[in-house]
Amino acid sequence: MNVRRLPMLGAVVAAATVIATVGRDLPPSVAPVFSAASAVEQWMPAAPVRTALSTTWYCPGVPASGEPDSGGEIMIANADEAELQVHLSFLGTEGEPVTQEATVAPRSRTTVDVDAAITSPYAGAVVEITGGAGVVEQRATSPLVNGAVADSVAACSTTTSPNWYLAEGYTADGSRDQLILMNPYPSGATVGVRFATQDGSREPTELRSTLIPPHSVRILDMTELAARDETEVAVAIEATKGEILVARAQTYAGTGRRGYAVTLAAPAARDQWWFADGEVGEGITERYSIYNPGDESVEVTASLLGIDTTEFVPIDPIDVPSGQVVTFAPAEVEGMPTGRHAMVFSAQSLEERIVVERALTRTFDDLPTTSVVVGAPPRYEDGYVATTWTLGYGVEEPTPAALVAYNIDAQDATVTVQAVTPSGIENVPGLESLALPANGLITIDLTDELAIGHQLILRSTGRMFVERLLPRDEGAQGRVNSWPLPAAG
Amino acid sequence: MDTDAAFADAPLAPPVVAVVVVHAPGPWFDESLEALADQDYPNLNTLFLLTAPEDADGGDLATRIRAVLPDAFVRDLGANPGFGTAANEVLRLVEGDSGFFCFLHDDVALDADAIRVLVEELYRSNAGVVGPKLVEWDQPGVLQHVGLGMDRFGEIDPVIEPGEFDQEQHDAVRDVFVLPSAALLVRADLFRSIGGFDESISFHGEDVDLCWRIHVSGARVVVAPQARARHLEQLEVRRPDLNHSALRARHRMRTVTTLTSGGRLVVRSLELVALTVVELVVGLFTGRFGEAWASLRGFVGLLPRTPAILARRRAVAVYRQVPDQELAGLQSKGSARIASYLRTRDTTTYVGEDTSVRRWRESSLGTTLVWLVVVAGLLVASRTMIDTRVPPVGELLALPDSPRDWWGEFASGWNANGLGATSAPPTGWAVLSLASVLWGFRMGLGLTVLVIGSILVGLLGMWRLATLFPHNRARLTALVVYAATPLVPGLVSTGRFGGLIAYAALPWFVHLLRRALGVGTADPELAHDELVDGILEPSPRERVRRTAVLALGAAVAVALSPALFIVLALVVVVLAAASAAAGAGVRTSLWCLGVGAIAVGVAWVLNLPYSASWAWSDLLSPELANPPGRGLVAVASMDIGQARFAVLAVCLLIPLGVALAVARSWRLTWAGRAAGLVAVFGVLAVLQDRDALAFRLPDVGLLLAPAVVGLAVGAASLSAAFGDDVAGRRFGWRQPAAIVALAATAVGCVPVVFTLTDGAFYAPRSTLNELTATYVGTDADSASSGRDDRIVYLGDPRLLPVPGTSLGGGVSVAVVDDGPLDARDRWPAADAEVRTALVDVLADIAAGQTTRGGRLLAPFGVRYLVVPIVDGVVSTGDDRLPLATGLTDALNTQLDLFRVVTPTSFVVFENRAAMPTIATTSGPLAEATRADGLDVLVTLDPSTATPVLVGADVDRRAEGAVTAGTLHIGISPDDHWRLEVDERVVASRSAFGTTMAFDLPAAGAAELRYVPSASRQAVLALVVAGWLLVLLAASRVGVPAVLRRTRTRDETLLDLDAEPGATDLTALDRGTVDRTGYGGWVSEMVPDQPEDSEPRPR
Repeated sequence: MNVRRLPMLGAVVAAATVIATVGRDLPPSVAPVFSAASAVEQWMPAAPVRTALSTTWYCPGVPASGEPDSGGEIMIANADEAELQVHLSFLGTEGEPVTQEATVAPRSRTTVDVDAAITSPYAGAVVEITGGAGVVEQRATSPLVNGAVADSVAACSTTTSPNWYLAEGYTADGSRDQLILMNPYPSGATVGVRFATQDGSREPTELRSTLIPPHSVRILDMTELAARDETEVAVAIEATKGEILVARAQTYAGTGRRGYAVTLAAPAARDQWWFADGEVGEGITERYSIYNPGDESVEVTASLLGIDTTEFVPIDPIDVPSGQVVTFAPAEVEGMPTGRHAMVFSAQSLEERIVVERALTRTFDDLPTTSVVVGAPPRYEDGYVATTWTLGYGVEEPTPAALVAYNIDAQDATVTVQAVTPSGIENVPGLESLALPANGLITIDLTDELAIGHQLILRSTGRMFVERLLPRDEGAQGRVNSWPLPAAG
Repeated sequence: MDTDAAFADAPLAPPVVAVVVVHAPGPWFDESLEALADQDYPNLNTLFLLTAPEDADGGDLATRIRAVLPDAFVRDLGANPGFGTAANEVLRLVEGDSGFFCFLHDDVALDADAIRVLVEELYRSNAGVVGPKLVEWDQPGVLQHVGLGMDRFGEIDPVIEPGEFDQEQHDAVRDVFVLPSAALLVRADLFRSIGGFDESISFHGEDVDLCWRIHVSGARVVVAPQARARHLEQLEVRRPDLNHSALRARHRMRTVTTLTSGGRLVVRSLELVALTVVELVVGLFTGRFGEAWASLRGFVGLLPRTPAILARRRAVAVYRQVPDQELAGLQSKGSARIASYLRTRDTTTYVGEDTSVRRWRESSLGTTLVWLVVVAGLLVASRTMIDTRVPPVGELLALPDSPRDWWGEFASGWNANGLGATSAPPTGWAVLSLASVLWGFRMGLGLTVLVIGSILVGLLGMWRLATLFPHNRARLTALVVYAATPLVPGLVSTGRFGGLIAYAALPWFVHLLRRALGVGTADPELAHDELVDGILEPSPRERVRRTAVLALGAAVAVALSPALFIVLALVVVVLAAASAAAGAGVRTSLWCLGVGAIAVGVAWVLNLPYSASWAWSDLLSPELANPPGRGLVAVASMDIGQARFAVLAVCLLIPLGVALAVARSWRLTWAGRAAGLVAVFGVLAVLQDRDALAFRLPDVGLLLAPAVVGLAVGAASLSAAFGDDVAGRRFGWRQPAAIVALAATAVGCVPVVFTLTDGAFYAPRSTLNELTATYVGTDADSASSGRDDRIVYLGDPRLLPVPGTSLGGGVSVAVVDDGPLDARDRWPAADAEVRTALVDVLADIAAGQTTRGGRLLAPFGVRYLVVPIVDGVVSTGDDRLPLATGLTDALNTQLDLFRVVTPTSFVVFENRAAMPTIATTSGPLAEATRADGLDVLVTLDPSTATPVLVGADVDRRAEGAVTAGTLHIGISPDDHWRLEVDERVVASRSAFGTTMAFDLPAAGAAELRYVPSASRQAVLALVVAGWLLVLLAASRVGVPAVLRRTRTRDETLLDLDAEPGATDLTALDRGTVDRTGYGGWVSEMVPDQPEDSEPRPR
C-alpha cells in the first residue's frame, strides 16, 4: 500500500462516515410561519390586552331598516387613560359603506347609532380603533309580536373567519331565523351553506356558492330557504374564498319561545363548550343543541357543573351523527336538581369537533322569554380560560343576579367587580373579593350605584366563565344572556 | 584542416563577436562554453548577456563562464526581455561595423570550426547572414534545422522532417529564407543598419523578422551546412510560462504586416483572413485547433497595434531594396501551416522529476469527435432556449434592453431596484453590460449566450484543467463526466445563474491555480515513477502574471455571483489541504494557499465598492423553515433540479474511490485533490441538505460545482491510472475494480442522454414569473401604467423571483419595481432603515397589529403583494412547498388588500390604499408625511395621492408639472435627488420618518433628477484603475525597451573598427572585395569565389 494513500483514504472514509451519520434521517418537517397570530384556532370574541397600531372590531349586524322600534347601536368602551380615535364603517346589503369618525374619551363609553347612519335590513359595522385599547359591543333592537321591543346585546369580534357554525335554530311557530353574513373586506367572499334539521343534513344547491360582495352584508332567511317550521336548525357556513363574519338574528314569535336575539356564530367547531348559566326549574326550558359539522359521528359527554348537591347525576353520552344536530334538555335527566348550574359538553378528543348552543327560556308573567348563547370554549392552543372579563354594556338600573360566574378550577377563588369611571377604575362596593367556590358558580347583583351605567370589569383569582343577564328594555320582560368579553391573555 | 598551421602565418581575421544570450542555463551550458572556447577562429570575442546572474542551479553564471572563457565579456541585463531585445544589447556594447556578430542561444554547442566556416562562407557567398546546420543535442546524427523555408504568411516550413538523419543530404550551401536565431553569423554593419532584432518580438519569430528584413535590404541569407552546431532547442520547456503558440502567431502576423510591401498588403491581409478560417477548420479536424485559434487571436490583435505597425513599416521602408515579387521567389509556395498540419504532429511540454521535456503530443480525431459530440449535445439540449429564449426561471431573468443605460446606472451609483437606494452598484452590472458586446448588444440573445456559454466555458475549463493528464483518454473522460453530471440540467431548470457561473468558473479556477503553482503536465514517460506532481516553478514575474490571471477570473466570477467568493476561498483551502494530504509537500500546499488567497482577495478588491456592501447573509442560501431535504441520494447524484434518472449519476463516485485505491504517482495526487473537493463539498451539501450546521452555506448549486469538478478529475485520474497503473500489471483486484469503475463512469453519464430530449434542460416553459407578470403589471404590455409602483413578493425564499429579506420562520420578502423583471432585479438595493420599516409593517400585519397594512405599505409604493405557491421548479403541483402558515390569512384580513382572482399557483393582493412611488399629496395626507412614523397612516387613505414625474426612480430623471402640496418619493431620504420647480431648488425632507418628501408651495414645472456624487466617480475611477493594474499584471507586457535601456549604463565593451583585422565590409556590397584583403586571410581561406557570389544590388 502506497503510504500516500492513507490520509486521502482516511479523509474519504471520514467524509463517508459523516454523510452516513448525518444524512441518514431527515429532520422533521416544519411549515414556514408568517403569522402565528393568524394561524391560531378561532376562539371567541375577546378583548385584546396589548396595544396595537389599530384594532379592528367587526360587529355582526343590527337592524337598520328604519322601521319603528327597530335599530341598533355600537358601543365603544374605553378603559384606558387615552382618548380613542374611532373610524366606523357601516356595511349594508347594498351600496358603499358609510363611514363615520368618533372619539371616545378616556374611561368612558360612546355609542353610535347605526340605523341613523345607514339604511339596510341589517347593517354590520367595522370599528377601527387607534390610540389605545377598547372594547366594542352591539345592541340590536327589534319589535316583538306583542308590540314590545326586545333588544339583544352581543360582543363584536376582532377576528373574522372562513367558517362559522350555529347549532340552535328555530323556525317553528312563526319564528324567524336569519343569517347575517358580513364581508368587511375589499375582496368578495364565497361561502357554502349547509344546515341540519331533524330530517338530516342538507346543502341546497343555491347555497353552495353564495357570494358575499366586498364591504357588504348579506341576509339569508332560513325560513324562506329550506328550513321552514323547524325546531332544530343547525347551520354551517364555510367559505371557499375570503373570510366573513356570521351572526344569526332570531325572532321567536311562538308560544314556546319568545324574544329576539342577535348572536354571533361560533367561528370554529371545538371539542369542548362551556356554559355558566343554566337553570332547571319550573317555567324554565333549557335546551342545548349539539351540532356535529364533521364527517364522523361524535360521542359527546355532557357534564353538569356547579350544582349545590353531593348527588352524582349521571348523564348518558350523547351520540351526534355526522352532519346532524342533537338536542339535550337537562330537565329530562333523571335526578337533575333544580336551580342554576353550569354545563360543559366535550367530545372524546381534540379532533372531534362540535358546536353547542343553549336556548334558555324563562317565563315571566306567563310570557316566555328566550335567549340563546353559543357556548364558550377554552382557547385551543393553550386551554386558556380568562380570569378577567369586561362588559361594555353593563346595567342601566340596579339588577340582581346580573352576572353568573363559574369557577372551572377545583380551587376556591375570589371575584372583584370594577367599574370604569372617569375618575378611574374603581371596585364596586360590596363586590370586592366575592367568594367563588371551587367548581362552583355564583350570581352577582349589580345594584350599587357605581355598577350602573359604566363599563364593568370582573377580575378573579381563578379561571372562570362569566355570563351576563341584562334586563330587556321596558315592556320586554326577562333577561337576555350574553357573554362578556374575556381578556385575551 | 590543420588550422594551427593555417593560421600560423595567416593574416589577422576580421573580428567576430559571439553574442550569447544566457537564461538560467542547465548543466549543458558547460558544453556550450567549451565549444566556444574550442573555436579555431583566430579573432573571436565572446559577449554573454545574462538575464539573471544565476544559472538554473543557483550558481554564479559569470564565474562559470569565466572558468572556461576568461576573456569573455559578461553583462547582466537584470531581466529577460526576450532573445532579440537582449541580443540587441550588442549594438550598444560593441561599437563599429568592421566585423561580424555571431548570435547564439545558450544551448548551442558549435563544432570547433563552425565560426570559421561561417565567416568563410559569408565571404564566399557574399551573404549578409550565414547559419550553420543544427543537429539534435543528444543525437548529433539527427538533423534539426538546415535553414528554414517560409511562406508568404510568415509560416515556417521546417524543410527537415522530424527525426531525419543527417546523411549529408542537405549539405549544399544554399540560400534560405530564414536562419534560426539559435546560431547565425551576420555582418555587423548590416545588423546595425537594419536596427537589429525587432524588439517588439520577445520570443519566437525574431529570426524570421530579421532574415526577412535582411532579404528586404538586398542581402543574402545562406546556410552553410559544413558548419555544424548541436542545439538543445528547449525554449518551450525552459519557458513554460510563455504561451508559445500565441507568441508565434502574434509575431508572425506582425512580421507579415510590417514587411509585406504596401502594394500587396491588402491582398495579403485578405489571404490571411481566409487562411485563418481554413486553419480553424483544418485545426478542428487535426486536433490543432488551438494553434488556429492563436492565429485568429494574433490577427485580431493586429488591430489595436495598427499605429505601431505603421511606424515599423516606415522604419523598414528606409532600407527596403528588394521588391516583394523578387522575395516571393525565395518563399515557399502555398501555406506552410496547412502543409505542416497535414504531415506533422505537435509537441508539448511535459514536466519530469526535476526538469521538463518536450515530446510529441497525442493528436487524434477522437478528441475532435468527442468535442463535436459534446458541443452538439449541448446545442441539442439547449435547442428550445436557442429557438425561442431562456425561460425566466429563478435567477435567469432577461438582461436589460439597453447595455448603455445599464452601464449608466452602474456608473451613477443609483440602484433603482428593490426599494431603491444610493448604493454601490454591483460590479456584475459593469461586467455584463460590457460583455454585451459578445452578443452584439442583442440583449435578448444575451441570456441565452450566458446560459449556454457558461456551460461551454465550464467544459473548456475542464478540458484545460485536464491537460494536466498527458493522455487524451483521461482528458476526454474529464470532459465527458463534467458535461454529463445532472448538475447542469439542475442548474438550468431551477434557474441558478450563480451555480452556472460556478460551473463555468471552477475548472478554470483550479486550472489557473495549478498553473500559478507551476503544476504542469507530468511526463508520461515517468508514469511508473513516483512523481507526486509535475512541478515546474515559474519565474517570479510569471507567477505574478498567472496569479493576476487567476485573480481576474475570480473577480469576474465573483462579480456575477458574489456567493462564489466563499466557494472559491474554500476551494483554495481544500486544494491546499488535499495537496498536503496527497504528499505534494508543504511548499506546494503553502503556495496553493498563498496564491489562492491572494487571488480571492484581489477578486474581492476588484469588486469594490460593491463587495464592501456584502452582508454575510447575502452570500448564503436563503433562510428556510425546513432543511431543503432533497435526500442523500439526490445530493450524491447532484440532482438539484428536474433531471431524469439522475440517480445513476451516483455511479460517478465509484471511479473516484477506485482511483484513490489504484492510482499512483501524480495520478494519485490528483485523485486525492479530486477526492478532497468531492468529500468536503459533498459533505457540506449533505449537511446543508439536513440543516445540520450551525450556520448557513451558499446555495447547493454552488456547493456542488466543486464536487463535480472533483468527480471529473477523479474519473480522469482513474482513466489515466487504468493505462499506467492497472493495465499490464499482475492480475489482481485492481483490474476488476478499475473495469467496474470505468463501467460506472459510463453508467453515470447515462442521465445526460435524457437531457437531450427536453430542449431546455427541463426548465418549465411557462414560468411563474410570466404568469404573475400579467397580474401585477410587470409584463411589458402593462409597463406604462402612468404611475410608478412596486410589487412585494412574500413567501418561501426559493419561490421569490429575486433575493429577498428574511422575515424569519422561513418566509422572505422581496420588492421589485413595476415593469418587466430583468437581471438588475437580482441585485436589489435598499437603505437599511427603509427595508427595516417595510419589514416592520409586514411584522405588524403578521402579528395582527393592524388591519390597515395596505395603508402602511403605501409609502413604499407597494401596490401588489404576491404570494408564490407553485413555480413548477422547486414547488410543483405534485410536490408543492408548504404555504407559510398564516400568510394568506393575514393578508386576507387586511382591509385594504383586494385579493385578485388568480390561478392557484400564486395569490395576488392589490393594495387599494397604494400610493405611487412618486406622488403628490395634499391635505391631511400631506400633513401626515411630517409624522415621524408610519402609524399615522392607519387613519388616512394614501390612495388619494396623485402620480407625478413617472419613471424618475428608474431613469434617474423626469420632468413634469406638479401641484402644490407635498411630493412624496418612496425611497429613503437621499441628498443626491434634486427637485427643481420653476428652476428653483426645493429642499427635501424625511417623510413618515422613513421616506423622502419635498414641500411644494405652488404648482409649477418640475424636474426631478439624480445627481451622482463626485466621490462615486472617483471610486469608479479607482476601481477601473485597479482592474487595469491587474490586467497589466496578467498580461505579458514587459517594461518597454526604452525604459530598460535607461536603466543600464551606457558602456562600450568592444570597438570592432578598432580591433585587429577590422575591415570595411561595404566592399562586399560594392563587389570590390579585396580578396587579398584582411591581411590576405580571406584569400587564403577562401580560394575560390563562387559564381553566384555577385552582390545583389542594394
